[in-house]
Amino acid sequence: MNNINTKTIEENTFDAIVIGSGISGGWAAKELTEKGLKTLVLERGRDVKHILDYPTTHMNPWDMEHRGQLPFKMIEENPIVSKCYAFHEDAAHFFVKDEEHPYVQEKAFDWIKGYQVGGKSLLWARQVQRWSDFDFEGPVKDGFAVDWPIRYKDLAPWYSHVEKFAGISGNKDGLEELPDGEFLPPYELTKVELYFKNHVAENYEDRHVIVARCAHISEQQPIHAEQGRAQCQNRTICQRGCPYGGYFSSNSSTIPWAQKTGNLTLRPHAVVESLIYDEKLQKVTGVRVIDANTKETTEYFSKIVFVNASAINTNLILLNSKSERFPNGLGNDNGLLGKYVAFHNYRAKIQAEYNGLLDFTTDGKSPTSGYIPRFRNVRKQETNFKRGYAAGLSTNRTRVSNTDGIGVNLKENLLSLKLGPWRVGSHMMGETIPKESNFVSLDETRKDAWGIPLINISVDYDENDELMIQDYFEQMTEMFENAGFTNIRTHDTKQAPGLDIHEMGGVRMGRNPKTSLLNEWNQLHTCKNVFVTDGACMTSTGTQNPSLTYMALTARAVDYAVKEMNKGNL
Amino acid sequence: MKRRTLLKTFGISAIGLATIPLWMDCWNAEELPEDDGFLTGEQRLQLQEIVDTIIPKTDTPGAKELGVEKFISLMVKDCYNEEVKAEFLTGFREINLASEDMYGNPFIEITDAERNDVLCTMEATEIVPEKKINFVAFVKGLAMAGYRSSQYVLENHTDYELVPSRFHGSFPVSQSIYTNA
Repeated sequence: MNNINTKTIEENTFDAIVIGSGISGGWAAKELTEKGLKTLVLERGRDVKHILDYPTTHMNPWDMEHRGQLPFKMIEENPIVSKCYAFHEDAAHFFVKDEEHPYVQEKAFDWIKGYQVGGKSLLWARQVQRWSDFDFEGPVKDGFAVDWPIRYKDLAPWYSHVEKFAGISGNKDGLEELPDGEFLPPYELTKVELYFKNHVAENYEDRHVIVARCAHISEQQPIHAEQGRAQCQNRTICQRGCPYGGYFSSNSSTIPWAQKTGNLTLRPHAVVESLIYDEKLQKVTGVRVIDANTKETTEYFSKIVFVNASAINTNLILLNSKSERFPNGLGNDNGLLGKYVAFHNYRAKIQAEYNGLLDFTTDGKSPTSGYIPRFRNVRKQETNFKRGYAAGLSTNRTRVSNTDGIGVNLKENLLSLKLGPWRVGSHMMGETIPKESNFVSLDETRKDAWGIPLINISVDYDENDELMIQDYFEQMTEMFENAGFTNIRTHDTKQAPGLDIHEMGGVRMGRNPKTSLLNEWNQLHTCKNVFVTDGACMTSTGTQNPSLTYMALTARAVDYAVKEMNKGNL
Repeated sequence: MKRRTLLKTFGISAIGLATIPLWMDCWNAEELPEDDGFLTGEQRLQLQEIVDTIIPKTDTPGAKELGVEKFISLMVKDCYNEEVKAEFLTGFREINLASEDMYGNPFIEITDAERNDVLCTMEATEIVPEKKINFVAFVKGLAMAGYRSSQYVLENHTDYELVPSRFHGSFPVSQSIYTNA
C-alpha cells in the first residue's frame, strides 16, 4: 500500500457512518457526535441548508407564478409523486421526480421520496403520537409477525429524550393507549371539535377525541433557543421549510446541532451502493459510495454503521450488500430481509357538515388537528378484523360566495365571502398486518443510473384492510350522525399502498435470529456493528404516525452502540 | 395586528387603492400589447376586455387592472393539456363571431352592456359533446381564481395572513371580518 492510499483511507475513516440525513439519520448524527464520535453522514441528495435553501418560504400566493399549481408537463411526467398531497408549486423541489429514481411496481405502490439533506423531515405532516404496549404487544397477542423485542418501558425514556429536544405540543390526556409525553402547551381544538369531543365522551366509554400531538414549538424553551429555533408562527406552509424552525426537521435541528460539535462530516450527493463486509474480521468495515453526479466510487470506513436511508432504500442497500458470508444480502441468513413490509391504510375518508355552533369560527391557523386514538380491539377482540385504526379529525367554516353571472354583481359576491356551515373531515390511519408475501426485492436485470439494481416492490392490501375500512365508515358515520353532523359522505380513495408515506419493515426487530433481522438494540443479529433505526426496523406498524418512534429508537440504539464500543465489544 | 389597525383607521378601499400601483402594470389602451409567447397582442387585448367584463372596475380595481389576463394566459399555457389549449385559442374567434352576429361588430368594439350580453349568452350555451370547455365559463373560472388570489383581494377583502402567529379555535363570528351566510 502506498502513501497516497494510506492517506486517503485515513481521510475517509470515521468512528461512525450514518447513511441518510432524514428524521432518523439526523438523530443518529446528533447523538453520535454529541457522544464524541467522528461521524460521517452520507446523503444521496443535495445539501439543503436551514433557511438559506427554502426558496419559497416567504412567498404569498400571488408571488407564485401558477398560484401553487404545477405545470401540466410536470404532472404528466410525474404520475407517481403527483399523487402526493404536498406536491405543489411551493414544495415540488423537495420531492424526487419519478424518473430520477425508478423502481419496479410488481403491485401498485406509490413510493414518495425526498432526496436531500433533511430528507422527508422537511415535508412530513409533523404528527407525533407515542406507541403504547397495546401496540408493542399486538403481534404476540393477535398472532402475526413476531414479538417485538422491546416494550413501552424500554422506549419511554427515549421518547422523553427526543420530545424535549424536538419540541412537541400536546395535551396530557391520560390515555393508556396513547401515552402522554413531554409536552409544550397544546393547540386549541375548534369549537365543533370540542363539541364532538364532549359528545363522544358522553356516549362512548372507550373513545376519545384529543388534539393531535405535533412537533411544533408552541412555546419556546431554552433548548430550542439554543438550536436557533423560535415559536411556531402558525403559517401552516411547513412543507416549504420553516424560517423560524417552528417545526422539527433535521435541517433546523439535529444536523446543525451535530455540526456545532465539530464531529460531523456531511457528504451530500453520496449514493450508497453497499456496506463493505470484511470476511476475516467478520464485520462491516465501511460503505461503498457512488457520487450521484460524477458516478465516481469512494469507500468510507468506520467502526459502526447506522443505516437510516428510509425504509425501502435501507432494504435495498442491505440486499445489495453481498459477500461470501452473506450471499443474499447483509445479515440475511434467514432469507427474511425485505419481507414483512407493511404500511398504514389511508384509503378511507369521511366528509360531513355541521350547521350548529354557527356563532363561532376560527381565527389564525392551527398546525395540527383533532385525533381519535385507536379504539377498536384495544383491550379485547371485538370485530371480524385484527387490530384497528386511529382517525384524524379536522373542522373549519366553509367560505361561500355566489359565483353566478358576470359583472358588478359577481364581483360584489366574490368580495363578500360569507361563512357557510362547518365542514367536518376525517381520515383513517389503519394498522396493516406485516406478511411474508408483502416484500421488496432486487430486480435481477434492471439497474438505476448508478448501476445499482432497481428495487421491486410487491405490497398489497388484504381482506383485513377491507374489513377495517368498512368498520371505520360505519363507526365514524354513527358517531357523526349522533353528533348531528349532516351530509355525511364516505370515500374510499382506493389509493395504492405507499401514498401514506408510512412504509415500514423488511429488516424487522425480534428476539430470534431465525425469524428477525435486528435484535432489541436495532443491531443486525449476525453483524453487530450495523444498526438499522429507520422505518425498515419496524416489526409491526401500530396506528400512530411513526417518525417519533424512529427518533426514539435511534437515540436508544446510539446510546447502546457507544456503550458497547467503550466496552470494546464493537 | 398592525394591518388590522390600519384598515380600521383608513378604511379598506383607501388602503387598496393606495397600494395598487406598487404591483400593477400600467396598461395603455391605445397600445396593442405585445405577443406574450402564447397569445397574440390582439388576443391579449381581447382577453383583457373579457376579464374586465367578468370582473369590472368599480370603486375597487377590476380583473383587468390586477393583470388577471396575464395570469390566465400563463395558466393556460403551462397548466393545461394541448386539447384545452387549442380550444382556448379558438375561443377568441368564437367570441368575435358571436359579437358580430349579435351586435354587428367585433367584441372589442361593442359597448360594455353588449359585451356583458355576449358573454352571458355564450356562458349559457351548452357545448357540443366533442368539446372540452365552454370558453366563457373556462375563462370566468380562471378570472375568478386569479382575482381572488391577487394581492389586492387577499390583503383587503379576506383574512389572509402569511404569518398569523395565533390560532383561536372558538372565535366569535361577531369579532370576525366575515358574517354568516
